[in-house]
Parts: sequence; C-alpha cells; structure tokens
Amino acid sequence: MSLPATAHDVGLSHEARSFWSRYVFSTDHKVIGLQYMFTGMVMALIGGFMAYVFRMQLAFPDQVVPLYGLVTAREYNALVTNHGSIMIFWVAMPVLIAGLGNFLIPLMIGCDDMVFPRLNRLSYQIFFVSAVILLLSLAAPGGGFGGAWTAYPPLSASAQYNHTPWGAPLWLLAVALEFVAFLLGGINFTVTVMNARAPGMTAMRIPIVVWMIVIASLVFMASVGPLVAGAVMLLLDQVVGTRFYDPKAGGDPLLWQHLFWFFGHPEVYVVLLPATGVVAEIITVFARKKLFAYKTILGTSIATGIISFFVWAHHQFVAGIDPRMAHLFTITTLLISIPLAEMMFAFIATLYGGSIELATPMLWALAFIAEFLIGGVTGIFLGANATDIYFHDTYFVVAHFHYTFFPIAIIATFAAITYWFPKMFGRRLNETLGQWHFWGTIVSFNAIFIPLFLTGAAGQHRRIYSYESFPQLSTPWLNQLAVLATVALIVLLIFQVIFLANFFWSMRRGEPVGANPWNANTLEWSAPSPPPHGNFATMPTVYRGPYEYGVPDRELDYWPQHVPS
Amino acid sequence: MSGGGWRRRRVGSLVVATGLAMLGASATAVACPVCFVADERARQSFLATAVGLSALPFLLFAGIAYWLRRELARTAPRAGPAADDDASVR
Amino acid sequence: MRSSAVLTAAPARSGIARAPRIRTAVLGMLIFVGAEVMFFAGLVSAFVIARSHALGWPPPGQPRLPIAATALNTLVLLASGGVLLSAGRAAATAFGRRRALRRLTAAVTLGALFVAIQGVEWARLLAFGLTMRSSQYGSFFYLIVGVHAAHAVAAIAALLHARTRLALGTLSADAFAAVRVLWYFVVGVWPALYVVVYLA
Repeated sequence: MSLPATAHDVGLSHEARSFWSRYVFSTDHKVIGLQYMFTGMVMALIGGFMAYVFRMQLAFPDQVVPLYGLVTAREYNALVTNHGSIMIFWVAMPVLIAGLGNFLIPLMIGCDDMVFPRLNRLSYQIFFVSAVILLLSLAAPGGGFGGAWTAYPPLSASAQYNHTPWGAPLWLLAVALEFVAFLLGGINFTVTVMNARAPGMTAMRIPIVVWMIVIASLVFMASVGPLVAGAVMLLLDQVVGTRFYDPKAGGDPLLWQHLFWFFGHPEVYVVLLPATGVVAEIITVFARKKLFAYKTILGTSIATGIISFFVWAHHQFVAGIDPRMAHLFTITTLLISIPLAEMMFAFIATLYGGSIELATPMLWALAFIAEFLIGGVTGIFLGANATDIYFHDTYFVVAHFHYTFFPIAIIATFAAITYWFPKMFGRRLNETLGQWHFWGTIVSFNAIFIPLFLTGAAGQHRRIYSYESFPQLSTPWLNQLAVLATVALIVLLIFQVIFLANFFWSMRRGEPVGANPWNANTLEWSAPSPPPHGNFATMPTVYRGPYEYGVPDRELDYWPQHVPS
Repeated sequence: MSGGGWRRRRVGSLVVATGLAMLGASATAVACPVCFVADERARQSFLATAVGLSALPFLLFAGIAYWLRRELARTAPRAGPAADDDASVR
Repeated sequence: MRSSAVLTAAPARSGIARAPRIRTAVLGMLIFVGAEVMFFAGLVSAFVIARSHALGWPPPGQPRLPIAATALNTLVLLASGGVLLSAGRAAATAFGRRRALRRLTAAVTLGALFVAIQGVEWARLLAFGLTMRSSQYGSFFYLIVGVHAAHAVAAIAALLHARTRLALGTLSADAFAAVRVLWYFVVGVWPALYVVVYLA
C-alpha cells in the first residue's frame, strides 16, 4: 500500500483527483471531519422528526400525525428508543468529538494531518455503515427496536418480549460498530496530540478544546470496554439463545445495567467536555480577554474525567443495589458538580470586564452556560438517592437530561459551527439569520422542557404511549403542559429551517472571508480559509499560549500563537 | 494562625470521618421497596466488580504514563535545550 | 529512533519534520490494548457476578474443563510470547533479520498451536455436551475463551503480515513493536482468564 498523499504532491495532483477520492475516500482530516458533521446533521434531522412524531402522540393521543400517520404503541416505543440512540450516538458523538476533533485537532496543534490518516478514514466508514444499519433496522420486519436507548434486559434480550426479532440485534450491531469507529478515532486523536504538535506547542499552550477532546477520548476508551462486553452478551442472548440476562436460567438482568452504566455515565462527560472546550474557545475570542485560569480549567476537566468513573451507579438507585453503595454514589455524584461548577465560574470570570461582542457564536456559547447550569442544578435532585427514588423515570429526568444534552449536542454544536464556519468554507454565515435562529431555538427549547419538569414532578412517567389509561396522569393541566411542549417543539424544528437555509446559502454565496475573520489567536486561523490539503503553507512555530487577548502595550488586541514576538 | 488552621483541619477531618462512619452504619429505610438485595453473595460480587472496574482505568492510565516516562527518558535529546517542556505531557 | 540495519525508520510523511519522541504506532496500540483490557474486565466481571448467583460451580451435570491440558497449552502460549520477545531483540540488532524472521515464525507457530489445541478441546467439550446454551457455565466458557481465541487469531494474522513485511525489508521498527505489543496482550491476558475460568 502506498503512503498517504503528502502535502507536497497534493499541490500537483489536487485538481486531477476525482470527486470520489477527494470527498468520499479522502484521508484528509478536514474532509473526514466534515463527513462526520454532515452525517450527524442528517441524523439530527431524523432524530428531530422522531421527537416530533412521538410528542404529537403525547399531546394529541391517537390522532393522525401530519407527515407520519397514526402512531401505534409499538411504533411509539421504536421512535423513543431510536430518538435517544440517534441523538447521543449518531449526533452528539460524531459532531462534537469526531467531527470537531478531526477538523480542529491537526489545525489547532499545527500539523498537516492525523498521525493515522487511513485509520481515520476507516473510522468514518465504519461509522457510516453503523448509521445505515440503524436506519435499516427501522424498516426491518417487526419494526425498529423499542426497548429504550438503555436496552435493559429482559425486555431487550428476547424477541419473545420485545417483538422485534430483527430490530433489536440490528440496533445493537449498529451501536457496537459505532463504538468501534470512535475507538479508532479516539486513538488517533490522542496519539496525534501527543506526537504531532508544532514546534513550541508545549502542553500548556494547547488550546483547551483540544485538551478536552483528548480527555474525552481517553475517558471513552477506558469506559467503553465493559459495555461492549455487555453488548456481546446481549447480542448472544438475542441471536444464539444464551441466557446471560435471564434470571430463570441463573443470569442477572442487573448485570446489564452494571456494565451499561459503567460506560453510560462517563459517556455524558465524553460529550460534555468537548462542548465546554468549544465554549471556552469562543468566549475568550468574543470577550477579547485571556481565558481565566487555564490551568484550573484543565485541572477541573481532568478531575471531571476521573470522577466520571465513580458516579455511574446513580442510575441504579431504584434497581435494587446495595443501599450503602447508593450512598457512596450519591456523594460522588454531588462531588462531580464541583469541578464543573468551577469551570463555569472560570468562564464567567473570563467574561468579567471583557469587551464582549454578542455575535452569533458568542450568543450560543453564553446560552450553553446558562442552559447547562439548569441541567446541572436539576441533576442534584436526581443524583441524591433519596429524591431520585421519587423522580426516577419521570419526565423530570427527561427534562433534566435534555437540559444537559441539548446544550451539549445542539447549542455547543451551533456555537462551533457558527464560529468555525468561515474556516470550514471560507465564507461567513449571515449574521441576521443567525440571530433569528438563535433566539427562536433557545426560547422554544425552554418552552419544551420547563413544562416537562412540571409534569415530571407531578408524577408523569416517561415511556408511556398514552396517559389516557392513567386518569390521574392525564388531568387537563398536565395535558395542557404536554400540548405546550409539543407546540414549542414544532416551533423549534421550524426555526432549524432558517439555519439550514443560512448554512447552505452561505456555503456558496456567503461573504468571502480571509484567514482570520474573528481576530483569533489559535493556529487554525493562521491557515487559509478553507485550509488546503496539508493545512499550512509553511508549518507554524508556536511562541505563546492560545489566549493572549488584550495584552497591554500592544497595538493589536490579539497576539496569534505563531507570530514571533 | 497556624494553630487555628490545624484545629480547623482536625475538626474538618473529624466531620468527614464521622460522615463516612455513618455511611457504613446506614440501614435500609423501611419504606423503601427497592433498597435491598435478595442475594448476599451477589451483592458482594457486584460491589467487588464495581470497585475493580472503577479502579482498572486508573491502573491502565498509570501504566501508560509509566511507559511514556520511560519512552521520553529513552529518547531524551542528548544535547541542546530543545523541547524540554514536553516532559510535562500527560 | 533506534538505529538498526534490519528495520526501516518511520516513514517520513508530508515533507514536514515531525520528530516524535514517542513511538506513534506503539502508543496507539497501547491505548487500544487498554480498551481491550477493559473489555475483558467487563467479561470477567459478568462471569464473577453470574457465578455468585449459581448454587454450585461448575453446575452439576455439566462436563468439567480440562484443567491440566489447558495448563500445558498455557505454557505453549507463554513460550510463544517469550520467543517473540527475543525476535524483537534480534530485530533491533544489526544483521539480525534472518534470526528475527526465524523467531517470528516460531512465535507464530506456537501461537497457532495454542489456538489449534484450544479448538480440539472445544470439540471434545462439545461432544461431552457443554454448549453455549447448555448452562451459564457453558455460555461463559465459550464466550470468554472464544473472544480470546478470536483475538489470538487476529493477532496471529497481524504477526504474519509483519513477517511478510520484515522479509521484504519494509517493516518499520515502530510497526513491529506495535504488533508485538498486541501479541503480548493476547499472551498476557490468557493466564488471568485461565485462572478465572478454569481454576476458580
């Protein structure tokens, strides 16, 4: 096999390469990053449409949903399950870690590509296959898997219970392939950052978002093994007929929760850390101020990564675990809010006294802090085992984790896309449309999930197809809240049309920009927009940290990392 | 000053120790229908594997960090002041 | 990079001077092995928990595992790891390619012998009625040992690929070290699995 194309010969052969080798089978980290991002965007639209369908069923039970039709109970389960799986595994992970990681890491550390470019391409190809398998599973005989994204056995373990003889194994296969893809990607990220940095890019000069993606990758790789082990056992239960999770045959359904949540909770921080990294990059640029306490933020993200291995059993407070263990996990769960709170305080301190410019990326970054705080604060009630026993599996939980995941997967992603769009495509997004999209999304997002806190506190359980069979849970007040949430969701989805229009219009017709439209310091802004294959004409040398804004006695208020003093 | 700090620390560690001791003595609430494990041996094995699984990643990280140290020592530049900050890489 | 007459230096890519002080492929492989260790730890945890539910272990009426034969087989695998270690040493010396090739072949042969003996044992156990579905005991045995065997086969394939490239003279020291790490993992995890599955 020949070595990957080099930066030098690309200059000669770039034009000669076909569409397929340039955009589909490319080993260029930027193309792969964008592939991940576009795949994630398509999956987000699919996941959003699923949310629309099942929210319509909840607000207007047993009526025909426009653009879909009548929702059966089994379809409802499949929709809820796949909405959750898609949004976490096929939207948050690919866009935030794989997409941004691929696009940003080599550019930000001053390098021409990943250290394993072909492994990188393989990673995207496996991911793409996993997405296709997941979508195919929805059309399989018996319908898509409907056992919730957590796939608890015995429901998930046997077609006798879940009635999806094809949907369940295909879903599991898709998830497993997706993990393999991210394992390859994560190895690539870590090794690239350790081994391929530009001269002078010492550990304390690496932009915080790169650090966070690396820490997230390490947490992912250290936590995913037990889940893959559990998934192999579940797949054998479904396909071969073993009974690992069947208590009748000496198995244990709790075992799955044990292995699943060992991965499942670190996973939350795996997607959270890159999102906070994005926010850190953006607020320094738009506050024109040095990032407050770089080392503290780095330390808190490492601490978050470490503690994230000790919190997972808080998902099992009502599953029948040892009460002493529950107490310990309550303490660790409350502890993990300390480094995160510290990180948020560091962000606010960065803003303090800065000359803040409320451009669209900055609005998204600030919204991330505000909305994520709501998610964090409501999490305290769920992390404490005493209150969790009441709130468990209610819409309060749903609202809580949407207040964490929506800021992570949607708000931070929009922040990142609006901020790095000029670098990705060499053109600027329309600012007016961006602001309209921002306010429409944020207001309607809150209007969806604040009502759900109330219905959850009133006792409405999640994963119920229709509350009409539960008179105490379908009071007029609760029904009105459900309708409010659903209408807000439709508004939110409509506002995404503005984004898509803005995105694709600006990609071709937007105002062209130079290399550094935001006057930012990090290395990616020293490359042309969009950067060519190989990224930099001459490889940069780094002279200082990434956040030297508003340095006194300097003419410019920024001081790029690659400019000699 | 230092005496006060010492006393505060002692009081602090006393509070933490009492808290941990109370944890050990915590009993199942009578009203809690799910706060028990039917099988004592299973409870112990869950506990043991939880401890093991949680500790293992850190052993692995420590192992890789140790290997990195050795690797960096092996390839340490013989002369010249270049890139000595790299040793602080995790 | 170590100077060596046998192995090529890491290929220079892109015309950009990268001077990594850490061997890239080895680091990547070590992280991968870390994830694999967690995977096996997950399987062992499941095994420990399932065993604690059982009234007797091994369950009555199920065939016993061949403890002594597998202990010998474990020695075969450990020998394979030792031979590979010396193959790595030989490759690091000048003019050691032929010796390295011979030792690599020996290591692969011993590894393949291990897999073959395991296969024979499986066939006998299946004949005795221990199957994937016969009990938790059987399920876990075939799961854990089977997963290890799959890793062994994949690692043997990687070693054979490395052998071809070593013979051609296109194997980099970094890549060879990474493949060796993978095989050391397969060798090193086996005694632990043997103790857990066969002895406990």
